[in-house]
Formats: sequence, structure tokens, C-alpha cells
Amino acid sequence: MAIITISRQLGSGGDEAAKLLAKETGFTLVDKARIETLAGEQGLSGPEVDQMAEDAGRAWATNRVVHVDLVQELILNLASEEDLIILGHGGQFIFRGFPGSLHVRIIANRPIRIRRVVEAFQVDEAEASRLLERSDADRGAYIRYHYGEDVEEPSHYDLVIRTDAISPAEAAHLIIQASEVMELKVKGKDLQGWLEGTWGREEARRLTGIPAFAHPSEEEFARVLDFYRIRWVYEPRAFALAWDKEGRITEAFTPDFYLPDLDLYIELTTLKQDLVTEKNRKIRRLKELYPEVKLKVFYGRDFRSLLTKYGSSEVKKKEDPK
Amino acid sequence: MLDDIQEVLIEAEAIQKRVKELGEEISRNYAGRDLLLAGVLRGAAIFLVDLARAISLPVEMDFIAISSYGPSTKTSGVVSIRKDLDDSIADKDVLLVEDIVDTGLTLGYLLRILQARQPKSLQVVALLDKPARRIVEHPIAYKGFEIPDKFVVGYGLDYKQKYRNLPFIGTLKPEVFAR
Repeated sequence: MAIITISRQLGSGGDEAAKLLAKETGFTLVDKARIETLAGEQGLSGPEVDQMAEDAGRAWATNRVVHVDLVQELILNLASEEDLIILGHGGQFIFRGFPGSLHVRIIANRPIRIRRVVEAFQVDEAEASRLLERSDADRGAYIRYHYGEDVEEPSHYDLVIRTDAISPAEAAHLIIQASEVMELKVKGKDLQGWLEGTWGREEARRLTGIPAFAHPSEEEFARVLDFYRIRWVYEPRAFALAWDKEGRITEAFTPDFYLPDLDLYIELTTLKQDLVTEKNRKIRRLKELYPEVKLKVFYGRDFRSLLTKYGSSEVKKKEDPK
Repeated sequence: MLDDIQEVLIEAEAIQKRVKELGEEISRNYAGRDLLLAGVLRGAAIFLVDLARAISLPVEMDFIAISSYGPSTKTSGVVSIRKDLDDSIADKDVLLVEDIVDTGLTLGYLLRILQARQPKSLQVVALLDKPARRIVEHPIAYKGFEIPDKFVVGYGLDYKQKYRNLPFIGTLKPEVFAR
């Protein structure tokens, strides 16, 4: 999918250019309103959604995990289905390095920005000046806080448009030309491949909403991890445990989850006791052969009590046919 | 209420003695500093007020509550703050007061969001530690008791919001869960 990100100063006409661009190209505009709608659909409360805005007086700083990770997830999920124009929200960093992306910065000189804000908000020059300062500070802080970058730094962008003498419609036209010259739609065909290269296969599947589980207990566990915003990868690695004379692998063990931030593998064992014995042997062997690997095993009983505490009686039933 | 108790794991006297010891240790370690006790609602409320009275320093007290994972959680729901601390913790010595650390998931989330607010220091005091259930490890600077992998109630810990007011830590009879 093709992605155009637009970072803009207040009073630069960037919002209007983005709207016109969406109209001309048919790309989906991801602005504050769209993010709020998506977040609302995810079960976040109204005040929480309000806090996600870049200009919410830094309320996002109270809950980075929700406000930046969820925004990323929502946008990536959408990008797997539609061409997007992303207005603000760190889009230039979410899609940094994606071949099908065009990153645009829209600016204007301060006197012109002040004049536009005076007109748009019906305020005096002093108030317009204050609004500009607050907006610049908030947007700058949002990017610095979540991505550790300077939003003003030109090297983040493919195209910087100064709108002192360029109308929003002309800016939109320039962006369309740039996207055509760059063949965004062609280069952006393999979003999934780029995501997998950048985030890992299962994380990419998770971010784009592709289900990956065969077993309800694994899905439930992943949901618990998601709830606490802990990154996970599903069955990322098979550890060889035995080889034949020719060196071919005859036995391997694939833990269910890997938590990259904790460098920890997790195995959920929900089988009957006689099968657990066999699995325990494999786990012992794995620990002998790969002593550096951190593996945590949750046995049926532990795992069920873990989920029971969280009230997941449904999984308990499915797990335990007896 | 006492009829519902299967076994008393930690007597009230033992809890009070341990809380006093923790209070003394914390008083020594934080002498001359501005200490803020940040209690995690609701489980840590009782522990926090007893602990605060066992500390011989002029501490500040504040509370935070976060959503927890449960049967009504939507597929893509995420943990969030239900009640935030009332005051800024920037440049303060913060002691996060937890009733129990088991999987470490809740604690991990709290530490992440509080660390982002740049306190001068951030450490954890937990009344109970249930290491058998740990998924995510975090250093616990002050620990009351290590307990086995049993579901416990009392001294702030609940079952369906009840039993928090028991003065001891105990387990419930199986029939209580069947009700």
C-alpha cells in the first residue's frame, strides 16, 4: 500500500492540503478524528481517546504505552488494507524506511502563519502567536517523547513545502506529482514483507491483524500480553535437540512464545500428564544444549490458575475436556 | 467470614511485625530524602497505611489504579490508568507499594509509566511475592513474605472484592469459589 505522511505546522495549510490530497487521490485520510474513531472501536473510553491527541496538553505522556503503541497498531492495521495519508501522529517515523512511503513536511514563515491563525480562529495577533507557540511545543514534544526525534529536522522528509506562496491545492498537487514520480503504489506493494523485515513475522501479523493461533490457550495468553503491551513473537524459533549420523535434525522443540524485550521464551503446556513427561524431557534437553536460552514453562495447572485469576473460564473448559 | 477460610498462611501478628521491620528499613534508607509512597489500588491500601505509620519520616502518600485483564476485556483492549496519581512525581523518591507481585505484568506496566515521569528514584515494596507465577521479572527492593502458588485473601487482597478486611493472609475453602 502507498503511504503519504504529512507533518505540518499550525498555520501552514497542511491540514487543508491533506484533505484535498485525500479527495484527489482517493487515499484514506488518517487524521485526529479517524484515530479517535478507531481507538473508540477498540474499547478505549472517551477521555482516554481524547488524551491520544498530539495537542492534548501532553496528556499522552501519562500513558505512553497506550498512546503511542496503540496509534501505531491502529495505523499499521489500516495500512494493510488501504492507501493512506497520515496527518501528524508520527507517521513519518512509523513508516520510516518503507519503500512505498512519501514523507512530507509543510511549513510557512511565522508572520504568514500568524495571519492565517488570526483569520481561522478569529483571535488577535498576540493570541495567535501564543497558539502557534503552544502547538509547536506540543507537536515537537509528542515526537521527541515517543520517537526521540526533532520534528523540525528536514532530513526526516522527502519533500518540504513552504506554503508562503503556495496554496493548499497547489501543495496537494506537488505531493501527487512526487508520489507519481516515486511510483509509490508500485514500491508499496509489499507492506507485509517490509513489516516482517522490520518487526519480525509474528509481530507483523499481529500488527496487521492476521490471526496466527491454532490453540485457544495461546490466543488467550497473547491477549494477556497484548493487554499489558508486552511485545511477543509466536513460535519464532525451533531448537534442534537431536541429529542423525548425517547431521540431519531428528528432533526439535519450538517454544510457543518469545518476548523480545525480556529475551524470554515461554512454553504453555496444557496437555495431559503422560504427554507432559515427554515434553519435560525435551525441555531438559533444550536447557542442556542451549544453556543461554531463557525459557519459562507454564504447566497446565499454573497456566489454568493464571487464566482463572483473570476469569477466563471459557479457555479452562476448552482446555480440560475431563 | 472466618468460616470461609481454609488455612491461615500468615498470622496478623507476623504481618504487623514484618511491616514494622520494613518501615524501619525504609526509614533508614530514605533518611533525609522526600519519600512518596504510591499505593496501587485497591489491594495495597491496607498495607500502605500500616507501612506509612511504621515509617519515621514525613512521607507523602498517593494512589494509582489501573484496569486489569478480565472476562469482559475486549479482544484488543489494553491496560490503562483508571485513577492516576494526583501529583507529579518528577524528581521525587518514589516507592511503589504493591500488595502482591505474581506474574509481574501489572508491576511491569506501572514501572514503565512511572519511570517515564522521571522520578529521582523508583523502587518497589511488595507485601507478598509469589515467584512461581512470575512471567516478567522486576527487582523488588522491599519484600514482606514469599508465598507459595496459592490464591490468597486478606490484608487488602480480595476475592470478588470481599475479604480485604481480614487482618491475616489466608486461603479460601473450595466451596467459596463454587458459590
